[in-house]
Amino acid sequence: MLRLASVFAPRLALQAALRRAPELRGTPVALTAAPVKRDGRAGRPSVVMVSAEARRAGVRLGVTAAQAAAGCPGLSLLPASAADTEAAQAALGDLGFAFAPRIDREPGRVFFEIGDLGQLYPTEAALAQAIQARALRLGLGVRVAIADHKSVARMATRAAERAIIPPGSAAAFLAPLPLAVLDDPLDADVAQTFTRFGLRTVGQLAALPAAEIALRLGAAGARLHRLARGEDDDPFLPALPPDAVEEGVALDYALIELEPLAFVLRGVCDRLLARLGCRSLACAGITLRLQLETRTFDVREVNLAAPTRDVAPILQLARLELTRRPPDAPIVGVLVVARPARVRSAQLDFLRPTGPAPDRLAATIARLAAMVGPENVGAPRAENTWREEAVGLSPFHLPSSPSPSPSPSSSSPSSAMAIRRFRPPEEIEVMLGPDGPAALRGKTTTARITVAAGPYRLSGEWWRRGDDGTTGFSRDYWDVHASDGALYRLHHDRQGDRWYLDGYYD
Amino acid sequence: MASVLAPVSALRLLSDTALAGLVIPASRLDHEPRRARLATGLGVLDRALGGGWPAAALAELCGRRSAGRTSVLHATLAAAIVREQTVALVDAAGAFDPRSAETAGVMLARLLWIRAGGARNQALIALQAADVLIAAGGFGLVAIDFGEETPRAPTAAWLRLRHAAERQGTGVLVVARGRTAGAVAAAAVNLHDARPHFVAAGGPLLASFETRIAVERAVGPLPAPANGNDGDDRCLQFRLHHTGPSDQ
Repeated sequence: MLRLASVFAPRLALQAALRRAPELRGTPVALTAAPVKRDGRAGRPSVVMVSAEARRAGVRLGVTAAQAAAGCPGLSLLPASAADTEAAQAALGDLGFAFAPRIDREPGRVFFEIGDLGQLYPTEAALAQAIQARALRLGLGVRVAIADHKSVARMATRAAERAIIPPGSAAAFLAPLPLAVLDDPLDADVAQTFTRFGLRTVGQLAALPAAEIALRLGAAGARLHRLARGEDDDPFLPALPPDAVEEGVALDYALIELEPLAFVLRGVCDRLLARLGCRSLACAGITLRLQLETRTFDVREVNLAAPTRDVAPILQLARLELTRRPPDAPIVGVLVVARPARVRSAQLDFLRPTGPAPDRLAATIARLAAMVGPENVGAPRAENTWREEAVGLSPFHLPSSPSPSPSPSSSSPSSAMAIRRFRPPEEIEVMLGPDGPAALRGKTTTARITVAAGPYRLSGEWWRRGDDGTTGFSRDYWDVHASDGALYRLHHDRQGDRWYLDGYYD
Repeated sequence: MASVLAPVSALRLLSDTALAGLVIPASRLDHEPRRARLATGLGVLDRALGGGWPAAALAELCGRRSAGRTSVLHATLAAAIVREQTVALVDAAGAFDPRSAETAGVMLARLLWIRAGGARNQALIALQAADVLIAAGGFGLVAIDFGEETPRAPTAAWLRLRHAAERQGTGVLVVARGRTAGAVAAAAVNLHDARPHFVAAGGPLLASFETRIAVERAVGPLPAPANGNDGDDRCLQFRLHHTGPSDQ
């Protein structure tokens, strides 16, 4: 039998605003919105939603923000934001995906099938408790009901914080509940009719004959009667998770400096990573969409070397990007789109040393990339070119197979000679003798050359044209022993007639 | 003051008399359990160090330009990769040459290379990067190549690295021009007196060079010097052959 969980976030717009100001939870808070007048201008902001604490303090809906603040000195006024509400709705969806692969969404509510979750949780009550705990981590307070049908579960969330309706007992559960749970909100005319009939509870309505109700109240009445009897014809319509996860914030005032923007970004990224964590995903990169005061957008891509669930490297990379190229105008809104990715898993080998855990390695690489730049972290790669100084970087991955080459012999008396490169090669002056270079002088090195071996000519890439109009390269390389004791490798650029110090053997 | 000097005088007396052979410095006492070693694959150096660089400890490799530090570094990286260890190189100098490393047996795809060269405070960034790497855990060897520099980091920074290395079981090899970690390093090797060898084949041709190893600091008992020299400078030799760009 199908068992469905309904997760409902009451006053979602208020909860959405509190997600970016979590320190205000438990205090009197009112959500304000400014109505748009006929001439297009914004009117006075008025209170559209209040927290339980504010309601207890006497704040009422519809009063202006100034009146509400005057009546309740400790009241915090938060502007309603469609972006916040959308993000909270999406977070609610991610909460569903944390427990099931398919969910059905409604405004402020998600449904999902709990079929196999019974193997993970001892009771349905424990599951409901786990859902609420996970929602709190996303900054949402939710009501949870588990029932056989969508409509029953939906009605149960209107009546209780947590409700478990055993299979086949929907009518018995609904019977004592007030009629207001049938719809949100219950149509005023229908409610008045029910009052005239002397009906107060769902059970009283369910006891009446369906045909008589339909005759007097029409299709709407018939639907409510079916709901009251626990009969459901509302299908479960599963939806796939979205490809990208978004979080945004509309700022109360324009930001000019990087520090306050970083503070805002931290909150947004924290919420994003919590939502990705719900789906057991990590962040492979973000798209930063900054809304500027000039009514334009500044869009940045921040790529990570490896997927991570650590907010620090994402923030560092975003800061680096913004420092490198500051926005042209003050920022009035921030939208961050995260690219979800699976964290690589690895099977440990009984006979091989244990390497870093894949997720920790990913976070480490991301942190390193934030420190030195993503272009400076990875596995080195010798490029397919005869240019000796050419070097590339590939993404670093933990090896999945043993090393193919045999172990070097510990009794080997010698090893390959290494060279250290100057990047870029240092231009030097060379004094030539009858047998080649006789002395060299550069920024850091001035020495007499005692032995010069060469030249070794290297040329190629004639099909490429450089910035200076030359094609390819043609060089004469020399290995020289200098009077300072070092073994240098230098070359003469035959096209530009210049000498360069490539590095030294070491 | 006399009470302080008395034990010192007594020790000196013991060491100057016939009892000298019975006096063993505390640093040479074999009271520690046998340490795991990170063999370099260079037999001469491994024997000089008593099996290789100490594992889960900080070691230093010093020498001037062309003394052979990079060749030893490449051999150490190659040997660690062959042992299936996860290996990282923090390249503060930005001088790493993948081709010659590959010639030395380093499997490039298995080396995590962090280039800190070009940064304003590259030595500090290199230390921070090494700290991040070691803290991640699971790395068998983290090498920090300062190149021509001898970074002047506070002792606390080296102590932090050493403790992290001991905790995570990571070997840390610091390559610099001179010694910088001081007593924090469990082993220190200085390379000196490098001599190139050119062969005449229609003109001089660089073939190899020799360098000498001086073990300035080590953990545990070391084998007796093969050439009969006494003292910390063990004057061992090893040879590096050139297999340069002509083989690419």
